[in-house]
Amino acid sequence: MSSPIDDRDMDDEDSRRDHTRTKASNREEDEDEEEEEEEEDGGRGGEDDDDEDDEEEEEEEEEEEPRRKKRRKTKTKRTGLSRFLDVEAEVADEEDEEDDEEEYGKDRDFIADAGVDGDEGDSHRRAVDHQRLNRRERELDDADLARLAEDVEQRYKRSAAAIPYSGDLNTVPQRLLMPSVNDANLWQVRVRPGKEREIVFSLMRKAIDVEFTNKPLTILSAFQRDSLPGMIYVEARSQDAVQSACHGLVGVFLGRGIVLVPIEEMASLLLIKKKEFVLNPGAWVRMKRGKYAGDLAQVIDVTENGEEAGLKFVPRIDLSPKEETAMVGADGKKRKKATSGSATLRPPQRFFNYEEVVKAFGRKSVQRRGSSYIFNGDTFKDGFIEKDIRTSALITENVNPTLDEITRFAKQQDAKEGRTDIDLSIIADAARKAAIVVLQPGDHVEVFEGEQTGVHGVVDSINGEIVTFRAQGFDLEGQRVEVPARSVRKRFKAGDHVKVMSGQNIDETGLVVSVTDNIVTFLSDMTLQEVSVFSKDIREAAEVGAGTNAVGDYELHDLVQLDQSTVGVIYRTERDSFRVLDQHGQTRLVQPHQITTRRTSDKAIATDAQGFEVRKGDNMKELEGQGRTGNILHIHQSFYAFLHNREIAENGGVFVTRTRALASVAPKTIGKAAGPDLSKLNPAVGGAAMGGTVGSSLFRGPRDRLVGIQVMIVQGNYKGYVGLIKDTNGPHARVELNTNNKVVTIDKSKLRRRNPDGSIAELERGGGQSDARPFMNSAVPSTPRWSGGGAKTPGWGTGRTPNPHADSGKTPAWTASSKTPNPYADGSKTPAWDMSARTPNPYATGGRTPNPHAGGRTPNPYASNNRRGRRDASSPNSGRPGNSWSDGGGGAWSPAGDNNDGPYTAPTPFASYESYANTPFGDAPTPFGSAAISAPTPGVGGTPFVADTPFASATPFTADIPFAGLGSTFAADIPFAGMTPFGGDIPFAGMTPFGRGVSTPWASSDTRPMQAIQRGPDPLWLAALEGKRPGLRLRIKGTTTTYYNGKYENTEVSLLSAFDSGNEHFNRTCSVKIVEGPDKDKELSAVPMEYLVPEPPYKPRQQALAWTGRLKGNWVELIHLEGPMDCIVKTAGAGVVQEANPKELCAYVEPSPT
Amino acid sequence: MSTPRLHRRAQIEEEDAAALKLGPEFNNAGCLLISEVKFLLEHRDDTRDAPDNAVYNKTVEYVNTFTKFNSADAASAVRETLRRESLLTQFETAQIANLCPAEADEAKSCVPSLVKIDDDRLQSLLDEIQTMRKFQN
Amino acid sequence: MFFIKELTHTILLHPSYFGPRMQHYLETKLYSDVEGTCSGQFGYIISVIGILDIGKGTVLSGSGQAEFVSRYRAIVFKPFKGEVVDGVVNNVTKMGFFADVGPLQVFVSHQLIHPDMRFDPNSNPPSFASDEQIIEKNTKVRLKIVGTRVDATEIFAIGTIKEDHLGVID
Repeated sequence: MSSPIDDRDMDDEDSRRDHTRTKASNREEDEDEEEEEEEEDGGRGGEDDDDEDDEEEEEEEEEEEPRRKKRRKTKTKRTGLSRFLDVEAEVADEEDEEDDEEEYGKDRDFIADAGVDGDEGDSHRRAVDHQRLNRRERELDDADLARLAEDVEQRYKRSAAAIPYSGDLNTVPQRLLMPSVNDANLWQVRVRPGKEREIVFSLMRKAIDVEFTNKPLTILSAFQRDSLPGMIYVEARSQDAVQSACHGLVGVFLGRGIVLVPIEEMASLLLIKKKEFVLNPGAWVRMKRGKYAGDLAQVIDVTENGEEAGLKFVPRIDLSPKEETAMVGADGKKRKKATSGSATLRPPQRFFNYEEVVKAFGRKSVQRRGSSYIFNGDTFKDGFIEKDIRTSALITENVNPTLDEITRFAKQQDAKEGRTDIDLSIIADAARKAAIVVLQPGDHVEVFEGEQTGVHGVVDSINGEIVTFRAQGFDLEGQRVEVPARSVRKRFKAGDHVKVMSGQNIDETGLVVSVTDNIVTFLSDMTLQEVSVFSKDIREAAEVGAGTNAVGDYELHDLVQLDQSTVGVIYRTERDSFRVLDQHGQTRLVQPHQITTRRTSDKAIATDAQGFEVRKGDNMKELEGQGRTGNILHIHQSFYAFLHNREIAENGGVFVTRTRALASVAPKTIGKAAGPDLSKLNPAVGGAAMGGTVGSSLFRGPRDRLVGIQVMIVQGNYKGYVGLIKDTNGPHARVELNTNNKVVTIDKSKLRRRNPDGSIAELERGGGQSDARPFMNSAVPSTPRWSGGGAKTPGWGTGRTPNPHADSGKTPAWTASSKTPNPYADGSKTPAWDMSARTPNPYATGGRTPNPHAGGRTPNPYASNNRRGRRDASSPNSGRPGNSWSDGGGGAWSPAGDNNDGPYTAPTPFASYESYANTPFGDAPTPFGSAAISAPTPGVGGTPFVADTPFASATPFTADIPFAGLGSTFAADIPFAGMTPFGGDIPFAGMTPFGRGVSTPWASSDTRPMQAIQRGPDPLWLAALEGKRPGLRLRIKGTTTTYYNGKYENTEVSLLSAFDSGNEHFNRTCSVKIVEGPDKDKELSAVPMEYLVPEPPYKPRQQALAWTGRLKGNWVELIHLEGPMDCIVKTAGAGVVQEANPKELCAYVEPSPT
Repeated sequence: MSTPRLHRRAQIEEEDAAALKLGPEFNNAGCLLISEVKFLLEHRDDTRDAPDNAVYNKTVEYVNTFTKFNSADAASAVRETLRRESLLTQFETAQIANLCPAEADEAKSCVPSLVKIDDDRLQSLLDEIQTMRKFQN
Repeated sequence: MFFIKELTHTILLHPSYFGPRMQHYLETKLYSDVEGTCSGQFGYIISVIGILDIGKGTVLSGSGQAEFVSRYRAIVFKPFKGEVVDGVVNNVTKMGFFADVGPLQVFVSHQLIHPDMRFDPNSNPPSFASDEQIIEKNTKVRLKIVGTRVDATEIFAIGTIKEDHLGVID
């Protein structure tokens, strides 16, 4: 056997062979006997088989080849006709008998053929042959049928020993023809891919060559299959035989092994799948090669032998033939190179247009013939090219024409012939096979051909090609109908919501607007454009498509950077590209790789035409141009806005405009966002935590308070120089010297603050150097806190020590509100910050929430205090908490800020301001303000030192009653005035905080009552109080260590007289009478005013004097006391009943005449 | 696997106003005439502001445009009239009152489920409604 | 079709809102949560007509929040396939036109417009016009809903005017 090749060509030749065979068949019987004998002889003589007892068939197989070759050789010599080789090769895989017959036939054939082109001798011989043939035929006719049968039987008896004769060859069961273990094996040999066929032929030639040498090839056959590249198969009894056969052939990779093919696979290797190539006119095909490769074509007609098909397709004519036209004129070579030129650059598909072509190629090049044109040897009709193409050059399967391509054909036809509809049956045909695959149970289908046409229902099951569905409507309702799958198509109605399952528009969803046969038009959910698809490609779906929204990392409506200066918004995504609208309004098609990056404009803000802020998501209207409305998708550089409006068909509803040309059309929040989120903490209650963070990012700390102060250098080269601090940097300061305007950088520890009066003070804080703080030496050298002080922040150490106030139980709120007794200790770096973060700061929240007073609920005395201040602050302007926030905050802040040059800082632990400066301190002015005042409170506990400072006034805040602080401030005054060591202390002497307070910031306390409250009552409130009269009830506060060592602390007294020296260096004292306790009615004279705080009225009908606040200076009568912070009073004069804060009131009890 | 999907699909399929299939939630729900909606929206609880959202605003605009009867009385009179025809469902009643078809065949084409009612009967109802419409105010 | 319907809504309330004004909080929250929303099941909730029962708060273990299942009565608008409605044309494109039917937007494809009515690209505003009728912005039309699509925040419908008694109304 030689190589059977599963090729279509072979099929053709098969038929040819059949033809030959029939010719010869008549004489086969006679020949057979001879042949077989010959074979046997040849077998014995020509080849020594190892196993002579083998079955006849095998022997024959083996021997046949050499014998045939021999014969062929001689014949070839005689005729030189090569055509036989093919035929010979074809024959190989037939049964032996057939082979023989055939050979005979070929013989005859050959002779006849030879005669045709042959010489005299040949023709003579032919005549003889004919005679002989005739004779034999006659003999045959005469032959006894019985003898004939005998012959046949005899012939098969031997060869079919193992296989019972089954009468007809065609019906021999296939399994009996299957190879068995007794047959030769099939070996797979690796070869160079693409060379398979060549190698098989080489093997054949080699076999022929060495046939009669002493080492003939012992292989039986060799073949290859196109579907298995890189392999050939050789039939042989042993591997060695294969090896020797293949040895020396180029392209055979023996090194990669010779693999035995399992017996059960042998048959399948040789199985030829029959393909039907029934090209019907109207069918769609594609070109395999050449200029039109891949193009869709429609079959017009098919030649009878089916080898060529007349096709109609869209031509690709190069309408810019360059020099070719010139060439034609010059040498008349008929533009031979035109084809080569167009091969490199394929001209686009374009319908043939007579005028265009004439223009490009000249009138002569085109001939008109009826309704068609001849150009360049091709026929053009209706714009299409019509051409005969070999079917082998066509792709006929899986053509899958797209709707676009088909409509292209259809449109041209429309134009030419006025036809309106596409021949849908053709498309349906093409699509039909695929349609079966996509059917699923549950799909709604209808039958469109056959008896059941028009019946529709829901698919129940699909069994191969048969679809079972439950019919709906008609009389068939509920019945099961079985139809071939190709006769049904999916059924949709207008209004169905569908999703595209395959094709260009995959994953698109929409509502069906119309159905024409199997073309469904739907309105895309995403683009609101109409899309037409085959019904096979879609199915009903409930979900809204999202799939096509994203390609790669980019999604629909993303803002993408295209190049340095161009950004755009994706308004449509296609399969692997985007349509982008850039900021100039240009649209472009962009591949993902052309996008530099995706940008976000979530935080971008721009201003609209009215100057209002616009952001992403706002609903805006164009003021100029087309007046479009839309939702802002993105803002670019605060100038361009990309908007989206579904109703605009253009560019997927995306358009770009300048933000300045926009105006808001709708409230920003639509729907849900409007309501508060009740599942979160009530902002009115909480919020303190937020307060701090909000501020932190918005404000920067104030500049270092040291900057700008006058200092004296006390150490180093510049010792004794005076200068101004220009800048600070950590432990260093840049000081501009007064003497020579030189700026030097110098360690802060070498600097001392130089007060205007020439006195020297500590630069910023207590510091570790005790020498820098004279008051400390004298006043409280033994204060535990101070002794424990660290280098920079001596106060810190004390932070850990128990707060004396906490001990004393006076400031439980204080301890409750901050985790450590000393807020400074707690926030070692950012005390103010920490405080604000931890304690509800009504101011911080005040700015954001409508209920700043809520802060008052927390136990923090600062908060409550602030709250009061806040009330005051807001009272003139109560509707605007935000405003009062700044008032109050600012007010509170400013005194602290003044500390730069003020006395507050220098002598007190507050010098730690530096750390504030680096912290969000500035953000939380309020707590700072209160802190600034109250912070030293702990110090008040046992140390006169702290009491010295104005900060001691903070004390009241730590107590339940803020005004308690008043006492202590007065107390502070006493050591102040009386204690000489402090007199030397410039900070104190020079700048009594009180004096300052009275003069400037507090003078404005009407407008900013905050300050007053913040700091507790002005120590001189009493002095400043107008209309004070004996009988006012006061309370002694803050005298713990000073006045009488606190003997009368917290004692309620009645004012007898006040003595105001009018000079801050002298006492301002009052005479009072104690009205309660063991010392009742005892008169105390010269009680420092600072130690007296007003006692609020506590019972109805009690008279009181408003010493501060809104009603300041007014006499009122208490009507109802609602709480420590609220009461209702009636003013004395006008009798107006109104709310008041008891803390702003000072009770009055008319002194009994004595 | 296919069963739940079929089931789901069947449910979706069910809603069809032409066949009076309004789905489980609305088959027995009270239908409102546009005029009634207008009245309700106009006489809503005064203690709070009208919702300010697109849905509400568009609805107000819509009902003002398409209301057929100016007063609540007129609307209830129409209801009363239609109630006489016991075959009418809520939905059909509202459809008739909202669309106010003049002819029986128009009504039947707009509300296909009205086929159950005899043309003459329907026509008399429609005429009555037309009259009411004409003579309100 | 407008309906009056009893619906429920679940509100979670943070403990910080407990107190005398709780009822008020809940009501405000209910209104802002449901009015103007849209769901496939109930359509558009236009307006809450009355709160039947604000619900008994059930404190959830773990968070301390209280869950209120409120029952209320509301006007809802739900379009149905096959329903005939009146609408106002909002936008006309060559593909068809959009009509507002209350909160609902209905698209009427040119395929579902009678072929007599042709899109007139030269008209301003753009319109569909036949010899007798014209459809342009603000024209009132009677249409039939042929399909609806529901997503989270809106319902979209397509309609037809290609049937008897549908089309422009006076």
